[in-house]
Amino acid sequence: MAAAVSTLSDRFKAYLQEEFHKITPTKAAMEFRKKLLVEMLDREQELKIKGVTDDELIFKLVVEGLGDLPARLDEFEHREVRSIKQKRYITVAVSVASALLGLVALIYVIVGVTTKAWHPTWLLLVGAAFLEFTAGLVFLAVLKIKQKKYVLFRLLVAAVLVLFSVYVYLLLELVFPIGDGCYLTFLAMIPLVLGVDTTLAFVTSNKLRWVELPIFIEVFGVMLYVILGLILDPILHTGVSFWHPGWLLCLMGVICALVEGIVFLVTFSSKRAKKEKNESDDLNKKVDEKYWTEW
Amino acid sequence: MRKKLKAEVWDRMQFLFRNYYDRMIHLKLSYQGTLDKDALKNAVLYMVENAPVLHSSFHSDVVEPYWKEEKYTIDDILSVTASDDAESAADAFLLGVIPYENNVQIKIALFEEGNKSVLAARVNHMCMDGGDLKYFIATLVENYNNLKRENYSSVHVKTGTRSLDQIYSKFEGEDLKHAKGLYKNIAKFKDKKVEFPFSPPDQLDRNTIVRRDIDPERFSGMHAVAKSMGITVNDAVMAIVVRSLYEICDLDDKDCLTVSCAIDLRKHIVEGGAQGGMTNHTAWLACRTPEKGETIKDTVVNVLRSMKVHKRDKFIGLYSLPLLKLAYTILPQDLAEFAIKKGYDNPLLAVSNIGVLDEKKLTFDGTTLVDGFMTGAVKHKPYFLMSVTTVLGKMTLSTTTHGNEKDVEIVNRFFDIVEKNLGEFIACSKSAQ
Repeated sequence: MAAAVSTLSDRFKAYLQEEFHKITPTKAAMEFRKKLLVEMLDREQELKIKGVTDDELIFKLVVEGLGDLPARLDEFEHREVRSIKQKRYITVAVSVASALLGLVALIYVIVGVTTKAWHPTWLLLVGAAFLEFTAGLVFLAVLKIKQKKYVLFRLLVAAVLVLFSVYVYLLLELVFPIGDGCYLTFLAMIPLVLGVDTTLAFVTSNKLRWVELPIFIEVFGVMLYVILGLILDPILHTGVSFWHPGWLLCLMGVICALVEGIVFLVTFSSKRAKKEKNESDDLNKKVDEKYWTEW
Repeated sequence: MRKKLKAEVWDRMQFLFRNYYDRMIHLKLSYQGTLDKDALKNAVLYMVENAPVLHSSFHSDVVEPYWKEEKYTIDDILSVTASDDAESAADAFLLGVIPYENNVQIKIALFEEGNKSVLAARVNHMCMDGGDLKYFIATLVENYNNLKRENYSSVHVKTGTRSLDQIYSKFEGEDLKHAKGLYKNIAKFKDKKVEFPFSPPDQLDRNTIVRRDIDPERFSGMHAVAKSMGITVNDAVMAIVVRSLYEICDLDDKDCLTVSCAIDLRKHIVEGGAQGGMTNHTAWLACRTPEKGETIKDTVVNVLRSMKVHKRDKFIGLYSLPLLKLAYTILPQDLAEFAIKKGYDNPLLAVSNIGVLDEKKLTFDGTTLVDGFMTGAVKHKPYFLMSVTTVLGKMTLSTTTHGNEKDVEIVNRFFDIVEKNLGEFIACSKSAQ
């Protein structure tokens, strides 16, 4: 009786069946198993085209090509659980967001109808939208921290601050009558964003944090100079101008860089001196018997 | 979708070296007996499939170059040819060049002449160095033998990282910090530049490989004298070569001479790099002699004095590497190449002792290894590299030059001088008796 010939396809199936027995038999797992089989068959075909003629070697190469399959399956199972949880969170978050937006819209309509104050009450709607968008950005930012993708995290924080500044500007311009200077919010926004970013650079131990610090100080100094100049100059007495000697504020960054440089130099040389002293102490340490006997 | 692979620091450095040589490393092994072509093809494919860089093309992007996996078949890599003169056919095959844009970066040829087989291979130096070519060929032979014996579970090849950072894996604490801070550029020579007396570049220049075998009797004689002096074979070879270079380059006996000597950085890697992928881990040491020395023994002392300084340094070979890494990390490719080229002097005179090709590891089942050697890339004039390999107790010296018949003659004259100085070195034992 002729022995049953097992094709490579059968062997791949048997291999996958055995491995997939180790995880929960879900529909998603079945789809994943089918996907892997297709991958394996494609790889088999590719290897045959390349010239591999030994079926056993093809089997080995294909299985090795899957990488650490038990680890992949473990990861797949966890991902499945995570994905279900994530879907649930997203559904809850979308529902809460929609409800909040609906509630704010309702309040806006009620206030509008009863008091006829449609303006600037519409800012409530914009505020709610900004708030939800900010919540989304904060969620993403937290995700990026977990993934240790700090650059993206810092960009997201900057985006939140820009949104916040725009809303503050709208409030000042439309709700609080403080005069013509509302646009100064945008001038203040620049050092605010850079300042928070510099702080985050230190918190996340970014390599360029000591470079970013004097840049922030410089921008802060320049913006402070411009803002104070614009505010103070018109109210100061004739013949006195803030612009001069106020420009000295623009040297803040340079001073910071200089101080940094001096501190670095002092720290470096004191470390070096300490190291040299330790080495010389070691060399001059009183010798014991070992000195003569140990090689 | 074809995958992109990172071009590591050494890949990019070897790419820069296209300005000095043809980026190929060469291997030739001669056997008595024939090979099973199917098993060889399968073994080669297994190895190449598991080393993606070997079936990738190199893309020199302006910002950051990369490798891209390519489609290929075994015919792109391995050729089997019946020949009336397998040795000459293999020699001719070795002179070819694989462009870096090619779909595969390794070419292997099997030439058969009756019951005799010659296996020749050339590999892009950007993918691996001599140390890993030795590993590649030994593993190929092992896998071939395992396939023949249907011992599939033992078929293997190393597939780990190709990153430069592996070279720090044996260091920790302060030493690690120190090793990673060795920014000092040692690749700039301050001495008078001494060139090998090649003929001027000519339109008729072509790739040449010149080899000279030192028979087992003389090699063992040299080995014995080296042992009696308490020096390594490499030190002895360096001394003989340095003395010979003084003569062929027509230097004054009081001139100082710098000859670069290849060093395998795997000594700094845990398990000698067995966990990493196939890549380059070779650096150069400058062996500087202040004068020729009256006798060969004086030259040995001069060479030893220079080599000992390096050997006693636990960071041997690691200088300048952080600088290279920094340049390739912060600068775009073109700018990095420009900056590195400005601060780098390619060795004008260099020796690479590739070491022993172990016949036990290189013997295919059913065959007997009868000869073999490995050699480095084909240098453009005036750069001179002599490679040294030892197989079956025989030492082979070889040079690879883009030159002409005159250059072949000059190199042969150099080898004559080396043989004369080798004789003097061996005679040291007799004079000591």
